[in-house]
Amino acid sequence: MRTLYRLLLQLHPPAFRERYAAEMLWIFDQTEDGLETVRLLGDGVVSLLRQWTVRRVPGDAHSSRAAQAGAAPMFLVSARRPPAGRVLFSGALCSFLMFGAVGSVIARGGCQGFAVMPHAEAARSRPLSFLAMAALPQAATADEPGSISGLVIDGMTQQPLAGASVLVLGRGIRLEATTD
Amino acid sequence: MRDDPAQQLPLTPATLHILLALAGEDLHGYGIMQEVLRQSEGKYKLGPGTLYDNLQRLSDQRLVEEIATPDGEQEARRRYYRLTTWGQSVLTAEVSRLERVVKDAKLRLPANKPRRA
Repeated sequence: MRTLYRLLLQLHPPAFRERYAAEMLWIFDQTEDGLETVRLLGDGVVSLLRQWTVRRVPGDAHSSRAAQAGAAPMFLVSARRPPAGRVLFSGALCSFLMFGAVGSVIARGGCQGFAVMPHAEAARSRPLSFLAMAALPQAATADEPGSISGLVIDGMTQQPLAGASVLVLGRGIRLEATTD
Repeated sequence: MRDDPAQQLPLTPATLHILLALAGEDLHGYGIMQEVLRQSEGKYKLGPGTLYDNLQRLSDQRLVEEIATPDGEQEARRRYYRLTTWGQSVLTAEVSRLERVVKDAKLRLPANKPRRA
């Protein structure tokens, strides 16, 4: 019975266990009546459930110690130790894979939607539906060399833009570059 | 808000009994259990799990505090607890509330009402 009760105490949250388990076990040792020890076991089970459900607060040991010291805890510590090496490695690997996946999508699919194509291709281009940054000179000279003579946005010819890029905002704007 | 004891009321039976036990003298956990048993004339048996769960909560609320083990204490595992001034205020407020409840109950209970002919 004592071993079982001790096991129950060991299953309590560390903060509670460190503070009260020894005295609870001492009280159990004072009990000689068989029926009473069974009652204490039941009480231990209820206490175990209560501590892990109702009373469970992350970093409760730290916050209660701060409260005892008279300091107002400004935050709760969710872990007592720094992350393990394997956890850091897993996190780094996930970050690398995610970065690579996003980069790959942008390099392959994403750029096609952003690129300003020469006039012939621009006719087949889809309306841009999000913020895009277009490198006009590069796009214009990619397939057929020549300088940019104008832009057609939503069917309206715009003045040629100076500079290397143009920012397009809004949904459904068709950006076309015309070349000589 | 913390200065108003009424904010802490009503107390649970376990809390009330623990505070009442500590109102008389500083006690260790087992002593509190024995005192509660005595106060309730053997009707309220407080288990260690319930007791220390409440002591933990009451300590966080500053109603009780742990004190140094008195000289001469042979059992090192025993920890002693004391009712704080704030705890006394809350206990006094709870007792006053219960007095009002008892007074009201006496007025309302049929046994105490004058019967009409």
